[in-house]
Amino acid sequence: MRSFWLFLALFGFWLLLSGQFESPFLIGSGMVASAVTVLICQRLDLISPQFQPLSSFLRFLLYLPWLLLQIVRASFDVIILAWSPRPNISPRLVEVRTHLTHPLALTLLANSITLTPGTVTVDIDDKSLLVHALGEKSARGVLDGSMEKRISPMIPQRWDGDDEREEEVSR
Amino acid sequence: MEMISDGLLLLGGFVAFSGALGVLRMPDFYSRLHPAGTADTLAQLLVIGGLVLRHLDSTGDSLLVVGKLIAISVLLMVTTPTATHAISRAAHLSGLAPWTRRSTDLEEQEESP
Amino acid sequence: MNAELLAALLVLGGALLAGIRSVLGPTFYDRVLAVNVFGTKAVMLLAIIGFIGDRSGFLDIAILYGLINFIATVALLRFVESGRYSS
Repeated sequence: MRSFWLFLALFGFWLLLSGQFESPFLIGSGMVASAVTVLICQRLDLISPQFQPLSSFLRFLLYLPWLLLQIVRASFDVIILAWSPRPNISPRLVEVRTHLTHPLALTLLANSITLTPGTVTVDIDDKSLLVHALGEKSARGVLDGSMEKRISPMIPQRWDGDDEREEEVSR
Repeated sequence: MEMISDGLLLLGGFVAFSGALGVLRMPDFYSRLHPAGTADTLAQLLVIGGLVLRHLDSTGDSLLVVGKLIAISVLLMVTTPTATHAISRAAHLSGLAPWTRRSTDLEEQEESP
Repeated sequence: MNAELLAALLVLGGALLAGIRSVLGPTFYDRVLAVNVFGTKAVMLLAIIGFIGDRSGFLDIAILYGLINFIATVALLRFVESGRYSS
Protein backbone atom coordinates (compact mmCIF):
# COMPACT_ATOMS: atom_id res chain seq x y z
CA MET A 1 0.00 0.00 0.00
CA ARG A 2 2.79 2.33 0.94
CA SER A 3 4.60 1.49 -2.29
CA PHE A 4 1.52 2.39 -4.27
CA TRP A 5 1.34 5.85 -2.72
CA LEU A 6 5.05 6.34 -3.29
CA PHE A 7 4.55 5.37 -6.93
CA LEU A 8 1.68 7.85 -7.27
CA ALA A 9 3.71 10.65 -5.71
CA LEU A 10 6.73 10.01 -7.93
CA PHE A 11 4.60 9.80 -11.04
CA GLY A 12 2.79 13.01 -10.13
CA PHE A 13 6.14 14.74 -9.70
CA TRP A 14 7.22 13.47 -13.12
CA LEU A 15 4.05 14.81 -14.73
CA LEU A 16 4.49 18.13 -12.98
CA LEU A 17 8.06 18.52 -14.18
CA SER A 18 7.56 17.33 -17.74
CA GLY A 19 4.23 19.02 -18.39
CA GLN A 20 3.56 16.68 -21.31
CA PHE A 21 0.28 14.83 -21.20
CA GLU A 22 -0.05 13.80 -24.86
CA SER A 23 3.05 11.91 -25.83
CA PRO A 24 2.64 8.25 -24.82
CA PHE A 25 6.41 7.76 -24.81
CA LEU A 26 7.01 10.36 -22.11
CA ILE A 27 4.16 9.10 -19.90
CA GLY A 28 5.28 5.51 -20.39
CA SER A 29 8.89 6.28 -19.52
CA GLY A 30 7.68 8.18 -16.47
CA MET A 31 5.75 5.14 -15.28
CA VAL A 32 8.76 2.89 -15.87
CA ALA A 33 11.08 5.24 -13.99
CA SER A 34 8.69 5.52 -11.03
CA ALA A 35 8.20 1.76 -10.92
CA VAL A 36 11.96 1.12 -10.97
CA THR A 37 12.45 3.63 -8.15
CA VAL A 38 9.76 1.96 -6.04
CA LEU A 39 11.35 -1.45 -6.67
CA ILE A 40 14.78 -0.17 -5.62
CA CYS A 41 13.27 1.37 -2.49
CA GLN A 42 11.66 -1.96 -1.64
CA ARG A 43 14.95 -3.80 -2.10
CA LEU A 44 16.72 -1.28 0.12
CA ASP A 45 13.99 -1.56 2.81
CA LEU A 46 13.35 2.15 2.67
CA ILE A 47 9.57 1.81 2.77
CA SER A 48 8.45 1.75 6.36
CA PRO A 49 5.63 -0.66 7.24
CA GLN A 50 3.60 1.87 9.18
CA PHE A 51 0.75 3.71 7.54
CA GLN A 52 -0.46 7.14 8.58
CA PRO A 53 -4.23 7.32 8.96
CA LEU A 54 -6.01 9.89 6.85
CA SER A 55 -7.40 11.63 9.92
CA SER A 56 -3.95 12.78 10.97
CA PHE A 57 -3.55 14.49 7.62
CA LEU A 58 -6.87 16.28 8.11
CA ARG A 59 -5.80 17.39 11.57
CA PHE A 60 -2.58 18.64 10.01
CA LEU A 61 -4.61 20.84 7.68
CA LEU A 62 -6.31 22.31 10.73
CA TYR A 63 -2.93 22.83 12.39
CA LEU A 64 -1.55 24.69 9.37
CA PRO A 65 -3.26 28.09 9.88
CA TRP A 66 -1.99 28.31 13.45
CA LEU A 67 1.51 27.50 12.20
CA LEU A 68 1.25 30.21 9.54
CA LEU A 69 0.25 32.76 12.16
CA GLN A 70 3.25 31.74 14.25
CA ILE A 71 5.55 32.10 11.23
CA VAL A 72 4.29 35.63 10.60
CA ARG A 73 4.77 36.62 14.25
CA ALA A 74 8.25 35.06 14.34
CA SER A 75 9.38 36.84 11.19
CA PHE A 76 8.02 40.13 12.51
CA ASP A 77 10.11 39.70 15.68
CA VAL A 78 13.20 38.81 13.67
CA ILE A 79 12.78 41.75 11.29
CA ILE A 80 12.49 44.18 14.19
CA LEU A 81 15.64 42.69 15.70
CA ALA A 82 17.48 42.88 12.39
CA TRP A 83 16.75 46.57 11.85
CA SER A 84 17.07 47.79 15.43
CA PRO A 85 20.40 49.59 15.90
CA ARG A 86 21.22 47.71 19.09
CA PRO A 87 19.45 44.31 19.24
CA ASN A 88 18.13 43.64 22.71
CA ILE A 89 18.65 39.90 23.08
CA SER A 90 19.90 37.62 25.80
CA PRO A 91 20.26 34.18 24.23
CA ARG A 92 20.14 31.00 26.25
CA LEU A 93 19.79 27.25 25.83
CA VAL A 94 16.78 25.52 27.39
CA GLU A 95 15.89 21.88 27.68
CA VAL A 96 12.29 20.95 26.86
CA ARG A 97 10.93 17.61 27.99
CA THR A 98 8.53 15.83 25.69
CA HIS A 99 6.38 12.71 25.76
CA LEU A 100 6.23 12.29 22.03
CA THR A 101 7.98 9.23 20.68
CA HIS A 102 6.84 8.94 17.09
CA PRO A 103 9.57 10.21 14.74
CA LEU A 104 7.10 12.10 12.56
CA ALA A 105 5.61 13.82 15.61
CA LEU A 106 9.08 14.72 16.86
CA THR A 107 10.03 16.11 13.46
CA LEU A 108 6.87 18.19 13.39
CA LEU A 109 7.45 19.44 16.93
CA ALA A 110 11.06 20.40 16.21
CA ASN A 111 10.17 22.20 12.99
CA SER A 112 7.28 24.01 14.66
CA ILE A 113 9.52 25.16 17.51
CA THR A 114 11.97 26.48 14.94
CA LEU A 115 9.19 28.43 13.25
CA THR A 116 7.69 29.98 16.40
CA PRO A 117 8.96 33.34 17.66
CA GLY A 118 12.41 33.48 19.18
CA THR A 119 13.21 29.79 19.43
CA VAL A 120 15.25 27.32 17.40
CA THR A 121 15.60 23.60 18.03
CA VAL A 122 19.24 22.61 18.35
CA ASP A 123 19.30 18.94 19.31
CA ILE A 124 16.91 16.06 19.91
CA ASP A 125 17.40 13.35 22.50
CA ASP A 126 15.08 10.50 23.35
CA LYS A 127 13.20 12.39 26.00
CA SER A 128 13.95 16.05 25.47
CA LEU A 129 14.74 18.76 22.97
CA LEU A 130 17.49 21.33 23.30
CA VAL A 131 16.12 24.73 22.33
CA HIS A 132 17.99 27.97 21.77
CA ALA A 133 15.87 30.94 22.78
CA LEU A 134 16.52 34.61 22.08
CA GLY A 135 15.08 35.86 25.36
CA GLU A 136 13.45 34.87 28.58
CA LYS A 137 9.91 35.38 27.38
CA SER A 138 10.20 33.08 24.37
CA ALA A 139 11.96 30.48 26.52
CA ARG A 140 8.96 30.40 28.87
CA GLY A 141 6.60 30.12 25.91
CA VAL A 142 8.25 26.87 24.83
CA LEU A 143 8.57 25.38 28.29
CA ASP A 144 4.85 25.29 29.07
CA GLY A 145 4.32 22.54 26.51
CA SER A 146 1.31 24.01 24.71
CA MET A 147 2.68 23.02 21.34
CA GLU A 148 3.01 19.39 22.37
CA LYS A 149 -0.68 19.37 23.25
CA ARG A 150 -1.51 20.55 19.75
CA ILE A 151 0.60 17.91 18.07
CA SER A 152 -0.06 14.86 20.20
CA PRO A 153 -3.67 14.18 19.11
CA MET A 154 -2.58 14.47 15.51
CA ILE A 155 -0.41 11.39 15.34
CA PRO A 156 -1.08 8.08 17.13
CA GLN A 157 1.74 7.26 19.50
CA ARG A 158 2.32 3.64 18.61
CA TRP A 159 5.70 3.21 17.07
CA ASP A 160 7.72 0.04 16.76
CA GLY A 161 10.07 0.71 13.87
CA ASP A 162 13.58 2.01 13.66
CA ASP A 163 13.30 3.88 10.39
CA GLU A 164 13.41 7.63 10.87
CA ARG A 165 14.46 9.29 7.68
CA GLU A 166 11.94 7.84 5.29
CA GLU A 167 9.01 8.91 7.43
CA GLU A 168 9.26 12.45 6.23
CA VAL A 169 9.96 11.74 2.60
CA SER A 170 7.24 9.26 1.82
CA ARG A 171 4.54 10.89 3.87
CA MET B 1 -5.75 41.45 -7.69
CA GLU B 2 -2.87 43.36 -9.23
CA MET B 3 -2.46 45.45 -6.09
CA ILE B 4 -2.50 42.43 -3.78
CA SER B 5 0.15 40.58 -5.74
CA ASP B 6 2.26 43.76 -5.90
CA GLY B 7 2.03 44.07 -2.13
CA LEU B 8 2.85 40.39 -1.55
CA LEU B 9 5.89 40.56 -3.84
CA LEU B 10 7.26 43.75 -2.29
CA LEU B 11 6.64 42.54 1.26
CA GLY B 12 8.32 39.22 0.44
CA GLY B 13 11.35 40.99 -0.98
CA PHE B 14 11.56 43.19 2.09
CA VAL B 15 11.30 40.20 4.46
CA ALA B 16 13.98 38.34 2.50
CA PHE B 17 16.29 41.35 2.65
CA SER B 18 15.72 41.83 6.38
CA GLY B 19 16.35 38.15 7.04
CA ALA B 20 19.70 38.35 5.30
CA LEU B 21 20.46 41.57 7.19
CA GLY B 22 19.74 39.72 10.42
CA VAL B 23 22.05 36.89 9.38
CA LEU B 24 24.74 39.49 8.76
CA ARG B 25 24.25 41.49 11.95
CA MET B 26 23.53 39.00 14.75
CA PRO B 27 26.34 38.53 17.25
CA ASP B 28 26.87 34.77 17.19
CA PHE B 29 26.08 31.62 15.30
CA TYR B 30 23.05 30.46 17.28
CA SER B 31 21.26 33.79 17.02
CA ARG B 32 21.93 33.84 13.29
CA LEU B 33 19.83 30.70 13.05
CA HIS B 34 16.67 32.64 13.92
CA PRO B 35 16.50 34.95 10.88
CA ALA B 36 17.69 32.16 8.60
CA GLY B 37 14.98 29.76 9.73
CA THR B 38 11.94 31.98 10.05
CA ALA B 39 12.32 35.00 7.80
CA ASP B 40 13.18 32.94 4.75
CA THR B 41 10.15 30.72 5.22
CA LEU B 42 7.80 33.70 5.35
CA ALA B 43 9.61 35.42 2.48
CA GLN B 44 9.23 32.49 0.14
CA LEU B 45 5.56 32.09 1.10
CA LEU B 46 4.92 35.76 0.28
CA VAL B 47 6.94 35.90 -2.94
CA ILE B 48 5.53 32.69 -4.35
CA GLY B 49 2.02 33.65 -3.25
CA GLY B 50 2.40 36.89 -5.19
CA LEU B 51 3.69 35.07 -8.24
CA VAL B 52 0.78 32.60 -8.08
CA LEU B 53 -1.68 35.51 -8.09
CA ARG B 54 0.14 37.06 -11.06
CA HIS B 55 0.02 33.82 -13.01
CA LEU B 56 -3.66 33.30 -12.22
CA ASP B 57 -4.31 36.78 -13.57
CA SER B 58 -2.66 36.20 -16.91
CA THR B 59 -4.32 33.82 -19.32
CA GLY B 60 -2.59 30.89 -20.97
CA ASP B 61 -1.44 27.47 -19.81
CA SER B 62 -0.75 28.79 -16.32
CA LEU B 63 -2.19 25.88 -14.31
CA LEU B 64 0.97 23.80 -14.66
CA VAL B 65 3.09 26.81 -13.72
CA VAL B 66 0.98 27.38 -10.61
CA GLY B 67 1.43 23.71 -9.69
CA LYS B 68 5.19 24.04 -10.02
CA LEU B 69 5.20 27.19 -7.87
CA ILE B 70 3.23 25.42 -5.15
CA ALA B 71 5.66 22.50 -5.36
CA ILE B 72 8.57 24.91 -4.84
CA SER B 73 6.81 26.49 -1.87
CA VAL B 74 6.08 23.18 -0.15
CA LEU B 75 9.62 21.97 -0.82
CA LEU B 76 11.19 25.10 0.70
CA MET B 77 8.80 25.03 3.64
CA VAL B 78 9.91 21.51 4.55
CA THR B 79 13.61 21.86 3.81
CA THR B 80 14.46 25.30 5.24
CA PRO B 81 13.77 24.53 8.94
CA THR B 82 15.22 21.04 8.50
CA ALA B 83 18.46 22.38 7.05
CA THR B 84 18.65 24.99 9.80
CA HIS B 85 18.19 22.28 12.38
CA ALA B 86 20.83 20.07 10.74
CA ILE B 87 23.38 22.89 10.79
CA SER B 88 22.64 23.83 14.40
CA ARG B 89 22.85 20.20 15.52
CA ALA B 90 26.21 19.73 13.82
CA ALA B 91 27.51 22.92 15.43
CA HIS B 92 26.23 21.84 18.84
CA LEU B 93 27.81 18.39 18.53
CA SER B 94 31.12 19.97 17.59
CA GLY B 95 31.00 21.90 20.87
CA LEU B 96 30.40 25.45 19.70
CA ALA B 97 29.32 27.45 22.74
CA PRO B 98 26.47 29.96 22.45
CA TRP B 99 27.11 33.62 23.06
CA THR B 100 25.51 35.10 26.18
CA ARG B 101 25.53 38.58 27.59
CA ARG B 102 29.06 39.34 28.63
CA SER B 103 28.22 41.01 31.91
CA THR B 104 26.51 38.37 34.01
CA ASP B 105 25.02 40.98 36.33
CA LEU B 106 22.56 41.86 33.58
CA GLU B 107 20.99 38.42 33.78
CA GLU B 108 20.87 38.56 37.55
CA GLN B 109 19.08 41.87 37.31
CA GLU B 110 16.52 40.29 35.06
CA GLU B 111 15.85 37.43 37.40
CA SER B 112 16.15 38.96 40.87
CA PRO B 113 13.34 41.55 40.95
CA MET C 1 9.45 50.35 -12.08
CA ASN C 2 7.14 47.43 -11.49
CA ALA C 3 6.81 45.41 -8.35
CA GLU C 4 8.39 42.14 -9.41
CA LEU C 5 11.56 43.88 -10.56
CA LEU C 6 11.82 45.68 -7.23
CA ALA C 7 11.20 42.43 -5.35
CA ALA C 8 13.90 40.74 -7.42
CA LEU C 9 16.34 43.53 -6.56
CA LEU C 10 15.51 43.24 -2.84
CA VAL C 11 16.02 39.47 -2.91
CA LEU C 12 19.27 39.98 -4.79
CA GLY C 13 20.43 42.45 -2.12
CA GLY C 14 19.59 39.89 0.54
CA ALA C 15 21.59 37.26 -1.31
CA LEU C 16 24.50 39.71 -1.41
CA LEU C 17 24.34 40.23 2.37
CA ALA C 18 24.29 36.46 2.92
CA GLY C 19 27.30 36.22 0.62
CA ILE C 20 29.16 38.78 2.73
CA ARG C 21 28.41 36.72 5.84
CA SER C 22 29.66 33.57 4.12
CA VAL C 23 32.97 35.31 3.40
CA LEU C 24 33.27 36.88 6.86
CA GLY C 25 31.85 34.04 8.95
CA PRO C 26 34.15 33.26 11.83
CA THR C 27 33.27 29.57 12.05
CA PHE C 28 32.68 26.93 9.45
CA TYR C 29 29.01 26.59 10.45
CA ASP C 30 28.37 30.28 9.86
CA ARG C 31 29.52 29.81 6.32
CA VAL C 32 27.33 26.76 5.75
CA LEU C 33 24.33 28.64 7.15
CA ALA C 34 25.02 31.67 4.95
CA VAL C 35 25.38 29.51 1.86
CA ASN C 36 22.10 27.81 2.69
CA VAL C 37 20.35 31.19 3.02
CA PHE C 38 21.95 32.24 -0.26
CA GLY C 39 20.51 29.13 -1.93
CA THR C 40 17.00 29.87 -0.64
CA LYS C 41 17.26 33.40 -1.99
CA ALA C 42 18.47 32.03 -5.31
CA VAL C 43 15.38 29.81 -5.59
CA MET C 44 13.12 32.82 -5.00
CA LEU C 45 15.10 34.89 -7.50
CA LEU C 46 14.81 32.16 -10.12
CA ALA C 47 11.04 32.03 -9.67
CA ILE C 48 10.73 35.82 -10.05
CA ILE C 49 13.05 35.92 -13.09
CA GLY C 50 11.01 33.15 -14.68
CA PHE C 51 7.94 35.34 -14.34
CA ILE C 52 9.63 38.50 -15.64
CA GLY C 53 11.08 36.77 -18.69
CA ASP C 54 7.91 34.68 -19.11
CA ARG C 55 9.88 31.43 -19.22
CA SER C 56 8.40 28.62 -17.17
CA GLY C 57 11.57 26.59 -17.66
CA PHE C 58 13.15 28.63 -14.88
CA LEU C 59 10.76 27.00 -12.41
CA ASP C 60 12.18 23.55 -13.11
CA ILE C 61 15.63 24.94 -12.43
CA ALA C 62 14.31 26.47 -9.22
CA ILE C 63 12.90 23.13 -7.99
CA LEU C 64 16.16 21.36 -8.76
CA TYR C 65 18.19 24.14 -7.15
CA GLY C 66 16.14 23.84 -3.97
CA LEU C 67 16.63 20.08 -3.80
CA ILE C 68 20.36 20.31 -4.51
CA ASN C 69 20.74 23.10 -1.96
CA PHE C 70 19.24 20.97 0.80
CA ILE C 71 21.12 17.81 -0.12
CA ALA C 72 24.41 19.69 -0.44
CA THR C 73 24.00 21.20 3.03
CA VAL C 74 23.24 17.86 4.65
CA ALA C 75 26.04 16.10 2.75
CA LEU C 76 28.57 18.77 3.72
CA LEU C 77 27.58 18.47 7.38
CA ARG C 78 27.83 14.68 7.27
CA PHE C 79 31.27 15.03 5.73
CA VAL C 80 32.37 17.34 8.54
CA GLU C 81 30.82 15.20 11.28
CA SER C 82 32.75 12.16 10.13
CA GLY C 83 35.89 14.11 11.00
CA ARG C 84 37.78 13.88 7.76
CA TYR C 85 37.53 17.60 7.15
CA SER C 86 37.92 19.62 10.31
CA SER C 87 36.81 23.22 10.42
